[in-house]
Amino acid sequence: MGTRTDQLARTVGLVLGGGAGMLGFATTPVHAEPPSSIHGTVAMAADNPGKHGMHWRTQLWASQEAVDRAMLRVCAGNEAHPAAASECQQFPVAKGKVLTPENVLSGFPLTPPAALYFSWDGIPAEQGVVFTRTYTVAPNGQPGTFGQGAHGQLLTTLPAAGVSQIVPLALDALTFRSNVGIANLGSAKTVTVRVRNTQGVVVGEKAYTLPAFGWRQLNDVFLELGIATYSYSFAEPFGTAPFAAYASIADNTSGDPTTMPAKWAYDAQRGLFIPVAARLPGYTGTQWRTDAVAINWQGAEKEILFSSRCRTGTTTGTQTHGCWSSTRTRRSSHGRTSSARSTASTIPKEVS
Amino acid sequence: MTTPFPNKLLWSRTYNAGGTSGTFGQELPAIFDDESKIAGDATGTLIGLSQSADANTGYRSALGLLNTGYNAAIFKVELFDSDGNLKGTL
Repeated sequence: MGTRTDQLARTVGLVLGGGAGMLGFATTPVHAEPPSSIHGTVAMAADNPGKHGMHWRTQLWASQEAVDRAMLRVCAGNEAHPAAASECQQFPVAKGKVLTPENVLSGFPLTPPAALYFSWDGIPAEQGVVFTRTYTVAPNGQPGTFGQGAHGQLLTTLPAAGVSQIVPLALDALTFRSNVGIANLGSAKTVTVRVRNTQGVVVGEKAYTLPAFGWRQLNDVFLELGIATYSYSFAEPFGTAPFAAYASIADNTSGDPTTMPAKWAYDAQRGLFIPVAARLPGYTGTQWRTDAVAINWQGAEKEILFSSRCRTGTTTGTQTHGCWSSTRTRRSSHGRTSSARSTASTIPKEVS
Repeated sequence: MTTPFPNKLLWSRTYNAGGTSGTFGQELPAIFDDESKIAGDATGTLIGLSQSADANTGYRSALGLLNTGYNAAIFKVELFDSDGNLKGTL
C-alpha cells in the first residue's frame, strides 16, 4: 500500500520528527511499509507527559467469543512515525478471555501520542471487541486517575469519500480547550479541517497532509487555525476516505478531556437516544449534570425535540408517569448548533 | 433524549461540576433507535470492568441498562473475570 513517494516522505518525516528520543533509529532501519488489511482504529492513544506533571497512558482490552483462538494485530502510528507493518504486535486472544495489555503504546518505537490500528485474524472484525481507556493520574497530587474510554472503530463504519465528519467543540471556549484529531486509515491524503461558528458560518480552515496510517491532533484548534475562539462551534474535517476524526475537549482547570467522536449526515429519519443523563448531587458537594449539543447539518430549519424519560416511567406524549420529565424544543437552521443543558432535571438518583 | 429528524447530529457530556478543581466527566454516545433495538436473545459484551475490594482505592464499575422499547424487557447479566470464568449472574 502507498506509493514510493509516500514511503520516502514518511521516512523523511521520521528522521526530521524523531527528536532525541528516537536517535536509535539512525542505526536501526525502519520498514516504512504500512500495515495491510487493517480493520479499525482507536483514534487516540497515549504514553506521554501531559500538563501539571501528569503522564497519560492507554490501557487496551480485547475479547472475542467466536473461535477458540484468534489473533489481534495492533499497530501504532502518528504523523512523524506512521504505522509500519514490521512494527505491529500480535496478541493471541482465547475464546471468552480478555486481553489486557497495560500501557499498550510502550511497546512501539515511536514518540506518543499516536493512533492504534488493529486487525483480527481468525474471526470477522465485527465479532471482536476492542476497547481502550486513556487516562492519567490526577494533577496536583490528587489521588486516583481520570480519563476517557474509547471503542475500536471499524473501517467499515466510517463514511465514504467526500462526506464531512462533524465534531462539536467546547460549548464554553474560555474554560475549555478544543483539540481535533485525525487518524488516517489508508494511503497518504489531505484532510481539510474547517471550523464553523454556532450559526454555521466558516470561521477558519486549514488543510493537513497525513501519511498513510499517520495520525495528528490539532491542539487548540482555534490557535492552530489562527482564529478567535468561538463557543458552541464545531469542526468539519473532510477529505479522501477513510479517516477517523474526533474532538478532545479538555477542561483547562481540571485537565480532564472528553473525547467526542465524529458523526456525519444520514438520510433516513432516525431517532437518537442518549442512554443516560443526570442532574443530581455527587460527592463533596458537587453536582452531576448533562450537556447536550445538536447540529442541524443539512436541510431547512427544523425543530429538535429534547425529551427525557426517567428510569421506571412510561411515556405518553411528553408526560412521563412515575417521575418528572422535561421537554425542551430547540429550533435550528442548516449548519447551526443547538444545545440543551440538564434537560433531565430532577430525574431521581436511580438514573446515576 | 431523542431527536427524530434526519441529519441531526447529537452528542452529550455528563460531568461533575461544582468542585474547585474544574469538571470531570465523559461523553455518552447518542445511539440510533434502530441500533438500540435488540431482537430475541442477542448478547452484548462489555469489557474493561473493574471492582476494587477496597472502596477507597482502585475502581468500581456501574452498569446501566436502558429499555428503548415500550414493552417490559428482561435483561440477564453474567459477569466473567478476564480468564472467562463466570463470577456471578444478575
